[in-house]
Amino acid sequence: MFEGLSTYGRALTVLAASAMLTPAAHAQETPKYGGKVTINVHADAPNFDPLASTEYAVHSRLGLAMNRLVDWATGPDIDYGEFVPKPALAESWDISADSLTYTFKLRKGVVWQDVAPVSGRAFTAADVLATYAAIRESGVQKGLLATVDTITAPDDHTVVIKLKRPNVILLQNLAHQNMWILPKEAFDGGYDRNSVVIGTGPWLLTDNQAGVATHYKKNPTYFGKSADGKQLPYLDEVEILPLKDLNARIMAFRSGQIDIWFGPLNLTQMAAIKQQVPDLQEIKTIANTQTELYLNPSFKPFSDLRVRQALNLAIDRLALGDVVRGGGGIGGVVGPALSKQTLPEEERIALYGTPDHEKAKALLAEAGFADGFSFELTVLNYGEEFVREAEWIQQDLAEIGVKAELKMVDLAAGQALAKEGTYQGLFLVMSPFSEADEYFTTHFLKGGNRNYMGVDDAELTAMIQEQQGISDPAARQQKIWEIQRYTAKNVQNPLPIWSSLLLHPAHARVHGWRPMLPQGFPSLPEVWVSE
Amino acid sequence: MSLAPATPDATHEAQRPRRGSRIIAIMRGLLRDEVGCLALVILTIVLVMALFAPLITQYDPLFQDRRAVLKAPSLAHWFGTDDIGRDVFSRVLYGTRISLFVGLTVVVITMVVGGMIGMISGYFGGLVDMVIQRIVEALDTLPSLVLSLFIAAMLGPSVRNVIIAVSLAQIPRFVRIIRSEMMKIRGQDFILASKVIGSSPLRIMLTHGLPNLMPTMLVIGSLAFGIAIMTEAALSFLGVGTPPPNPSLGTMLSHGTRFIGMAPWLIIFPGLMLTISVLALNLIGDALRDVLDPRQR
Repeated sequence: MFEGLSTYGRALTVLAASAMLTPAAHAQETPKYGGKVTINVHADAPNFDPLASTEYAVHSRLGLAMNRLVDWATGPDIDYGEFVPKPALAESWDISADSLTYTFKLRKGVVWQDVAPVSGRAFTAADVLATYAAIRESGVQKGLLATVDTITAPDDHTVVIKLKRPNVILLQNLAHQNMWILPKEAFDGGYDRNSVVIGTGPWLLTDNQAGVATHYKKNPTYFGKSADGKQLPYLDEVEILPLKDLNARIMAFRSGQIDIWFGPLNLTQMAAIKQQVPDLQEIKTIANTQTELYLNPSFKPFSDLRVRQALNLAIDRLALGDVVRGGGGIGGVVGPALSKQTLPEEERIALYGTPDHEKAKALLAEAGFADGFSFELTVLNYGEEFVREAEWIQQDLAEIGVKAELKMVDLAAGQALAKEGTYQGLFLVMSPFSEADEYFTTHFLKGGNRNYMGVDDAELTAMIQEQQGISDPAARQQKIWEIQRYTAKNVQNPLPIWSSLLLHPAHARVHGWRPMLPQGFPSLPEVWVSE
Repeated sequence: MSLAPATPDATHEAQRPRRGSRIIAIMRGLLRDEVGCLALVILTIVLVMALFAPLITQYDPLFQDRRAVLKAPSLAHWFGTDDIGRDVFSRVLYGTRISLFVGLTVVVITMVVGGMIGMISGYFGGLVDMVIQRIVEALDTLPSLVLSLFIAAMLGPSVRNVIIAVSLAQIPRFVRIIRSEMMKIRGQDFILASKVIGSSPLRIMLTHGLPNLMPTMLVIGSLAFGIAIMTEAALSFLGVGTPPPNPSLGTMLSHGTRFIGMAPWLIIFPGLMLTISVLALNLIGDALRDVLDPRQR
């Protein structure tokens, strides 16, 4: 069916192009020092305490002034959602043979920004200990250190983390967007971390006015260097504008008031912007979220695996992605943004992108629903394109005799229904994840906070726990794939649908801009401007 | 003081033209008004198109012809297709159906509920009037669209909830106007006469008050019809009105703005239908007012 479409190849081409990102066309040019870029972050930071909130408005701003022990590497060969550990405040680390002890050697010569009361003193292991102790005690991100047993500092430049059990994603947890290292004075009453920002990062936060702008100036003592040894950052100044209104953001970008776009933007809006700014850099990535269709097994038809498989076979995802989203990637249990953990694309297409209505009807008949059935499909209102996806799925299901009555609800109501389990079908956008383990544990383990389907499968649980202890990356990748295949065959719930494109336009004068999954603009120190 | 107790109903009948002849007179007056007549013709065409939509268009307004996405108007699709291949002409007709249904239902509800409360407030006066008017004033402090939006957002998107939200927001206006009209007539002889012969307040309001208030109700009803259609469209535009996949002129306009450059037909035709319908209703309301109160000509 749908042979008249522009071919699925278009979506695949976009996918491939997106996965490769669009490195700056001026990669061969020599970076220049100086200048300023302006970014929009569509909300004000309510405070600057990284332990109090996971809000992007906070951590996006902190990223310019702070560092983590380990960072996400960026570069032309690294995907948007691919975690490659990069030394930050830790310049190296060793992992014991039993994977239970991590020894971090801290970078020497790093100093805190010259802001009272820290006033440019040297960074030491005591700062790391104080930060992690506070996080473990009361930080919103304390779950990231849940497997940690003890943290000690044998000397000023060594930190040893001992684990209760192996955790192969500890490095990624330490590089998490919320894991900024603060000076120890932030935790002993030395200053108010809600309002004062003191870090070791590339820029100093010099001024923040809610509703107006956040200003940064270059930190002359920043330790970071480029791959070819050049001192970073290149930019003298950075400004973040909290433009909440989409049209205001678009106007600001068109007029050049904003250099780098951050936040939601669809293809139509991008096309409109491009008419005014024809030479913009049209950087696209695949979102680290995907739409998902949850089928509640307490509703009788959905308790039968064959019915869930039938619904899976009814949905034409590739055409949906082409027509409704204009590109992106077919969903998998682990979404396509996590390019090293999601199943290979051809396998995802085989599992989820090959609709077969005859087979679907046969499965329904086998399950005792030869005449189909009706159910209420609760749709969380994430916006018009999302609703279009729901309408698309509704027609696909109707073609195998399953009538879905759409019920629109707001996000809070939908999430409450999901947690209570009082829904029949539920269509939503998955929360963003940066690691397969995070997805598996929250969705498929009993008591997982997103296990809205009540999955409690002993074999699957054992597989999930097993992958947590595999330290060899290749072997772990195989296990993660195995889990996804098992889930597709035996659980088939939720049904992954589609990962949309993320658009990150930037003006042509901006070079080296590479959007990455974690907040805090990790590639910004290497950004430079040509004018 | 003589109240002529022997012939109260005769007095009443003498003051009140027969109901049937009055409606005919109103219709005649409306047809004599050129603009009103034109508006009536336009509204009739819109009504017929909406009512007989299944006979006029061959397309299901929900069916997605995925091989015909964003097609410009043509002989096959008179108003083109939308971004998932649905026929816009068909969706405009069915959307108009929903708009007219919402408008008509809102008018009936507001006329019945608002009219009744307004009559009670105007007839009894005193404490009853004071309590009702304070409630009405409290509701009136919010613009009707904001009030509708608040109620619709609380109840969730559905046609039923849109009707409730728009009706609740329109009732205060009805109450105020009907109350003032009722106050004008409550001291007239035919009401007093009816009281003297022992008629209950309910009977007086229904048999004497209502017929005299009907012309006013018709005028504000026709205007409320237009306002209800606009409010339904506005609520749908904002995402709290008619839920998908049902067509709604407001939802179509809202979604069409995304494609304004590449597929302007997505907003032109729903916009035209909305404009024509509301304009026709407003012109009919104006003409009715002129017919019923020639001093305002």
